[in-house]
Amino acid sequence: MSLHDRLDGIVRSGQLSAPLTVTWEVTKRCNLRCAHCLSDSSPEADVSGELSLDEAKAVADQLIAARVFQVHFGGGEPFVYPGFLELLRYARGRGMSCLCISTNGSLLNEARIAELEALGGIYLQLSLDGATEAQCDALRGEGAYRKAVAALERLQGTAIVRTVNFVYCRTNAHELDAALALAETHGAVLRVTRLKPSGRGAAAYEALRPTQTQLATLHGWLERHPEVLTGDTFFHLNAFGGEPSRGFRYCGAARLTCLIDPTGDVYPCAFTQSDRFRAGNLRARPFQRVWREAPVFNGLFRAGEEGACTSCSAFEGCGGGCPAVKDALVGRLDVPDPDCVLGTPSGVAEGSPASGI
Amino acid sequence: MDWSKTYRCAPGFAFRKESFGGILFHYEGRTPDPRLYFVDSRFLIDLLELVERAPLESLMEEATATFRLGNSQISAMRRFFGDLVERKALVPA
Repeated sequence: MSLHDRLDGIVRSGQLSAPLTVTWEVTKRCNLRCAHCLSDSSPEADVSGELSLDEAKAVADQLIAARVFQVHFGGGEPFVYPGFLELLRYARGRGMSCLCISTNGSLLNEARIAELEALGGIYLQLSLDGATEAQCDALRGEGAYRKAVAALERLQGTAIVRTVNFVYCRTNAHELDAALALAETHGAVLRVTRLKPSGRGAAAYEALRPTQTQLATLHGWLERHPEVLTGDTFFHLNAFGGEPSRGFRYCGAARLTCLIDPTGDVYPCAFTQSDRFRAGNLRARPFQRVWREAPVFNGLFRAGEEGACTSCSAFEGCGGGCPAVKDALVGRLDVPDPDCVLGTPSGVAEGSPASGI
Repeated sequence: MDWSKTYRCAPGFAFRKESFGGILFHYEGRTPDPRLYFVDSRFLIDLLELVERAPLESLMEEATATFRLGNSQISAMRRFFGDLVERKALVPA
């Protein structure tokens, strides 16, 4: 039995005592204002109500007690959070195996990089949604490309594992090869992920969502580039047929992973931060109880999500697609993924103008 | 493989018990992807929790005597710890 099949059986039966990984958005504040930001972060984001450093350390203790293996810190820009490096040191000192940080790179100066390298167990994800300055900055704002590339250059020669994170959009789809070359030139692995209609990404979605042709191109491209990571976000492309993607063939939210927001609220994933899917708050209830007891983590999030898809021949490969996209665009989980590559009424039309961002 | 040594978990290695046995997680820090392993035996996970307390040989001898392990169980135990040391998930204490 393959690892995937083994995990599949365990995960589908809801047997895990805790998630394998947790995404933790430590702040909503960010020094950038990307057009497609999944969390609507910005320099002016309201940070009242966010966890203090002491509260964050208490949350780290809870994750360690639950034996969550990997915490993926994000935001906002996590290096904007006061005491972020202290939080990392604390978590690492208490035995957290792997600390993953999603950053725009703009605040990664030499001193911070040296601290991260000394900590060990760090995995950096640098966001760079274009292989050219023009393309990247159109999405991420003026100066974002140069700052991220400068960070990549400062990371050269360090032992810090790093990826270049590239959100695949209609406007940057043609830069995949160049993005791969850029990442490899800087000692990084390319990680391509799916645009989701959450945060500011919701307003930008129609303009930026890839066309069906682009998705087909991506599917073939990923097959030819097994060295590229996808964050397991493109399982819906398995419906194209051929070899299923290397990662999971269904959504891992509320099964393998979940999200903690800056105020301590817990959700299935970064893209489902609505009252409907709020599982609890860590100021009021310990993490392990939220994971074990919240209805969202006990079937509610999964109820009916397969919907009309179970009779589809592609279902085993794609799992019905992304619940977050379904919820955001249709308001229901028991429908096909609106970006289903086999075609659904809400599929994006070819040739739609890429404008309005 | 030196069975006479006491071992400890490498910095990127972690494990936990599950109803089916346990999960091992190993982030080696050379590539972004961690490795996951599933262990069907809760007994092996329980032993792993004790790994820092005594040399591996002693730990296995004691387990063999206490639980009257058969040859196949002893082989599985040796294979389990041997693999972890070979993968550098367990390192000398």
